[in-house]
Amino acid sequence: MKWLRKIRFKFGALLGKGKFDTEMDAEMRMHLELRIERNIDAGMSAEEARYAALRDFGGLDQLKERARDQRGGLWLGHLTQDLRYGLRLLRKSPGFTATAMLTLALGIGACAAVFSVVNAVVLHPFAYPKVDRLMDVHNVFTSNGIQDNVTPGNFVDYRQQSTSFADLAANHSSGENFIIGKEPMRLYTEYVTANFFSTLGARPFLGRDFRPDEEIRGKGNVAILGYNLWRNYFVGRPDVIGQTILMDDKVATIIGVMPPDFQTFANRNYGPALYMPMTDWGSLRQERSRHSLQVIGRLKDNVTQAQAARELSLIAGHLSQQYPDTDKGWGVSIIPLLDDTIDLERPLLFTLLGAVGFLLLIACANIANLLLARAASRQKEIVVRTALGASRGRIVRQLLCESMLLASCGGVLGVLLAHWSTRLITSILPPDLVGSANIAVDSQTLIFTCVVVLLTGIGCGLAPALQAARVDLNHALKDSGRGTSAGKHGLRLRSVFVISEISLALILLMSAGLLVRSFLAFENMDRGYQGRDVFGTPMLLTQNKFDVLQNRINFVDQVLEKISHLHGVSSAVFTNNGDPIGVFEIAGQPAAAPRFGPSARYQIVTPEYFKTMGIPLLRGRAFTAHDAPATPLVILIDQGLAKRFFSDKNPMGQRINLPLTDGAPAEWREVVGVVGTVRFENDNYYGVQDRVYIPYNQYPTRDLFLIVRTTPGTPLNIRAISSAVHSVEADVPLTAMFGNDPSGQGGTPGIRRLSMLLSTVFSAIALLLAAIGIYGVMAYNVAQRTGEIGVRMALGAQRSDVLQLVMTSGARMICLGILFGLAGALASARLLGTLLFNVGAYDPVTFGGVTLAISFVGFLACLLPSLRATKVNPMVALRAE
Amino acid sequence: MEKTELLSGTLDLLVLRVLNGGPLHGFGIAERIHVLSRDVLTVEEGSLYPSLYRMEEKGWIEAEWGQSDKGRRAKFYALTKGGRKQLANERQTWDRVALAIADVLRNA
Repeated sequence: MKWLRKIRFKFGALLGKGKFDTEMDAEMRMHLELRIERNIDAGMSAEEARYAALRDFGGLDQLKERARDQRGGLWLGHLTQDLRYGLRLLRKSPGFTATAMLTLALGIGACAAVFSVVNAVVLHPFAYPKVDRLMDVHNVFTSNGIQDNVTPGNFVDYRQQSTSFADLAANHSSGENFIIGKEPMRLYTEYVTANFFSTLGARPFLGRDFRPDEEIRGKGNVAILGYNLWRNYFVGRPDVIGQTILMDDKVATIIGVMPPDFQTFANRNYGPALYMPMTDWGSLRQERSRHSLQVIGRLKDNVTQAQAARELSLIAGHLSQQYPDTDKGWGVSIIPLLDDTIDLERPLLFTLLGAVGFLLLIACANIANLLLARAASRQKEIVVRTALGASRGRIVRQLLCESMLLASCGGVLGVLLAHWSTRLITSILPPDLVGSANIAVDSQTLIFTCVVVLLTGIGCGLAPALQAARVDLNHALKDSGRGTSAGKHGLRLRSVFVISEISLALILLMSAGLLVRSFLAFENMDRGYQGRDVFGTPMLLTQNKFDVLQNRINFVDQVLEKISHLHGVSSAVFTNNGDPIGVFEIAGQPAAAPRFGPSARYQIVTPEYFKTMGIPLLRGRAFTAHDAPATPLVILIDQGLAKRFFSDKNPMGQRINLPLTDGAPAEWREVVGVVGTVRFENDNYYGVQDRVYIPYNQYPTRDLFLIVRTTPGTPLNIRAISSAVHSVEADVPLTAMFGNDPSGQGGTPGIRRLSMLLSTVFSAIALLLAAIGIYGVMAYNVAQRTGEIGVRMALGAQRSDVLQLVMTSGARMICLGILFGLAGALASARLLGTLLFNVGAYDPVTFGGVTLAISFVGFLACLLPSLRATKVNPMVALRAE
Repeated sequence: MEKTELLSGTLDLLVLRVLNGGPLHGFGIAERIHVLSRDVLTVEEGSLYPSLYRMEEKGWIEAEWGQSDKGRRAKFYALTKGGRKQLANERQTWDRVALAIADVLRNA
């Protein structure tokens, strides 16, 4: 039972510490008494005997402490002792505790919040297993490198012939009208191959996955719901499996529900509401001209990306020989899914992570300064403890324990802060940003935070603790009255902290400044249209009556008439949904092979489109109500296209053939005007493309997109708009309206805005902390030198001399800080490089402005203590000496 | 009185050996070593008690409060089974080292 005894012994040491101490006391006393008796026996007087015994015995308390150290399990006892003592101390100085905890909470909270974003968006955007093996497959037009989706025909061939992939899956999305319950609604539906989910490594959390035979026509009337649709419209009922939903022409049975964290890369605009199998393979596999499918593949374990790319290229080569009409000039490329979805977000978010790291460092430096000041005022206590036998390590341990306590409390507060701010961040981020739904203070964030807290506790506590424990007993005790002997060295250390704070703050401010200027440049860039107060929503006319073209035209006219008379609406127009690209031919210019001519995005618009969007008409005329099916076909081109193809001629009256449907006979359209080039936010992602415009009445599509411009300052009245639409046609479903960017897209601006906002907030905090740091050191400095200043003034120094004396020491710190900071900022600006937009990395405005701002704030922080120094009353100061 | 410092590591051995004769309190142990070494070795309290607590924790000795011969309450230390084993080990080691040192001193 040796172990039992051992445990009892250790617990005895821990729990019965009081008992252990009294026993030890008794033992020592008795030892001493025996010794005195022996001394008396040896012939000493009682007094002498006692004195000799005590002298031989040595320091009783030191002996006891050393004896205690021999007992195992004592570190735990020490720890609880230190913790209790630390807590008591923190409670005793609530001002200090609150300041330190809040500072650390800000630093740690910011770190945790940004980490949770980076973790969700960059590190784990998809919850798919082995996500690095997933590859996006694109068709590439080899002559210009433009990527497009894959044609169904090509997909079938890749799937049959390729051996590099464990699985190849495809999907395409489309809006469909449903009736769920009694409510008509338009839902974005993802049509997928049956192996789509299994390729990604995802499974429905309710019900089952698609079966391979459900890709066959007639068997594919099944649907898997997205989590949101299930929760919102089926109120999360598990018995939804087996229920049916009505579509325009068929009934589909619900067979499964996807889990909430399932997010597809597909259709960043809306996020699919439900999934259905692709079925029309009989006709689809013949389709080699429409690049309609997004294709994703999971590489086999032993195949590299390069090998797979080589194999696919080989297949593509064969196909272009086999089908020269459609496949000639088309190659294939594969890109890891992760790279394909996040390319600008990644560096921006890592920059933010760096920024919070700096912020935390500054916070640590501040706390370290506070702790140093406290240590100086606690020197007496530490001297006494050392005299009572505490070893240096023991003192350092205790002080570290205090800083760990501070860091832990700060960490707890910080986690709360992060929890609250991630919600804020998520609301700023575009909802379609992949992974943004998973942003939360989760277990990984908590682990990260724990590590940060540990590092913070050590980081801000170690230097002050080492500094404080460095006491020279004799010196310190002799110097008892003032307790400032460690002041000199401590002050130097504090200055070093402040200088690094200033440098870090400067680097942070500089980066934030550059990001802000990039953001402003990006926002204020002339986009060629006025996006403010513009809202839009898609609409699809599926009812049988709309098989007649004139009915569509009538619908559009009536809806626009009603909506534009609504209160708060300045104008309303229709365009086509989506932003398709067409290949065109120009009369009189050499024709390229079919499909390989010049291309442009085309939009089908009602006459007021240009006025509503604020796109300037540069030449000719805009569309009018007179451009009708029976009148000559017309087209508008934008300035970019005019320059590119009609550089030396007048484009007016030129003729362009833009086949809008495959295999349609040539439809030559006359150019009647030139409008300005627009850059939708999305265009910054893919590069600006030329645009042409076609009057709606000459191509009345079913797939509409309503755009409403409100009068400035009036909120959009969605209810009024939808009742206007429904008064014309009751069964046309509406989805939510979204604002400001009619292309409905824009992952990048959201991230830009977020990083700009956050880095601005961070650098403001950093500046504040640095100012507090400077102030603290200067105030301490002045307090230390009160006596000296008093002497100087007694000897005839003027107030201005004193002011100069104090300010100079402050100015030296600030200058050094700025110097180091500038060096660091120059280096880090280069790292920012690709994130900047129309702003040079060494932008003089930013550099100058930030340097000025820091100098000014530093100056203010120095000024207050300096002024206090001039108010020193020499008599009082000298008397205090 | 000339004090001779104990060789490091030998204190434990001496304490164990002394306790092999029966339980003793701290002062008694120091006295016994002093006397047995014919006043050559003096055990400092500053080393003795840490050593006792260390050995107690290792389980070589155990302590019990009892009456001293003069009727005082004192803490008596006694050898455990493990302590006896440890004593044998240390003694063997010591003998070997002492012999070796003696050899070196004699033959060098």
